[in-house]
Amino acid sequence: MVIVDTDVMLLAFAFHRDPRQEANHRFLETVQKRGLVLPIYSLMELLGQLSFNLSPQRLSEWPIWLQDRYSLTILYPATAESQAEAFFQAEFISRPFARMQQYPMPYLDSLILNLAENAPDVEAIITWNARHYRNKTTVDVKTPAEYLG
Amino acid sequence: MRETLTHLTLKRASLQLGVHEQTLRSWEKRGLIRMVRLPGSGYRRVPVTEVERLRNEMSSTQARPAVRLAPPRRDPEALARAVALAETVRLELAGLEENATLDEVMAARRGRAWLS
Repeated sequence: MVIVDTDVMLLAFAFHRDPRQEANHRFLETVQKRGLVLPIYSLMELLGQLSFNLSPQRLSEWPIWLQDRYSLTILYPATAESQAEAFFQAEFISRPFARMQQYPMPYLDSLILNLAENAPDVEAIITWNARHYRNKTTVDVKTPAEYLG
Repeated sequence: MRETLTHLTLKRASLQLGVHEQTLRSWEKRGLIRMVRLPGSGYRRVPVTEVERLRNEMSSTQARPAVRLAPPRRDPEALARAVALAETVRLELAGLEENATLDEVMAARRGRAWLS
């Protein structure tokens, strides 16, 4: 599976004059047929940003204009057998903190990387800011342009 | 009757945690583990409670957590509606870049520079 970060999806809807639009569009149209995955934390970050510009009604329709449009699978952490408190401690505190100690990084990056690394059969994480993730994760990181080759 | 052990030698603690003794010394310097010194010799001893705490933290960090995947709908009717609505959203967001670039927005969100 190919995991996309917030900026790739943000570019799909806004910043129409950005020079990366063409490559971003080509990437999404090409790869969505094979299945794109968006971490829940990236989705919430994206909706938070768009909440300044979209009506509450439009925002609530994201499963249509975002998920269905780009055939996105949303990646969630699962509680498995763990109890709520243990899950919260591990998912939101100890794992991201251990990662931040190993490689200095923003909290949201650490949440996204933790989720991505535990997803099955991850081919790559796609972001326009690939250089910040590289060498900080076991998963391959590429920009949309690099992915298309 | 056997006494309950309250403190471990550095070697024994390192074996129980599966890390090198030097790693434990480094953790102590960084304040990640609390140790005590024996009066006189100054040798380190690690409280059993500290070893247990670290073992719990390490196992919760290393254990592969579960994930859940929520796939999209795949029927053609839903896709046609989604394409039309996505275009509407695109038009509604046309003015977003008047205040900032994508890189500026992402840098503000993540607190770090955002450039390809």
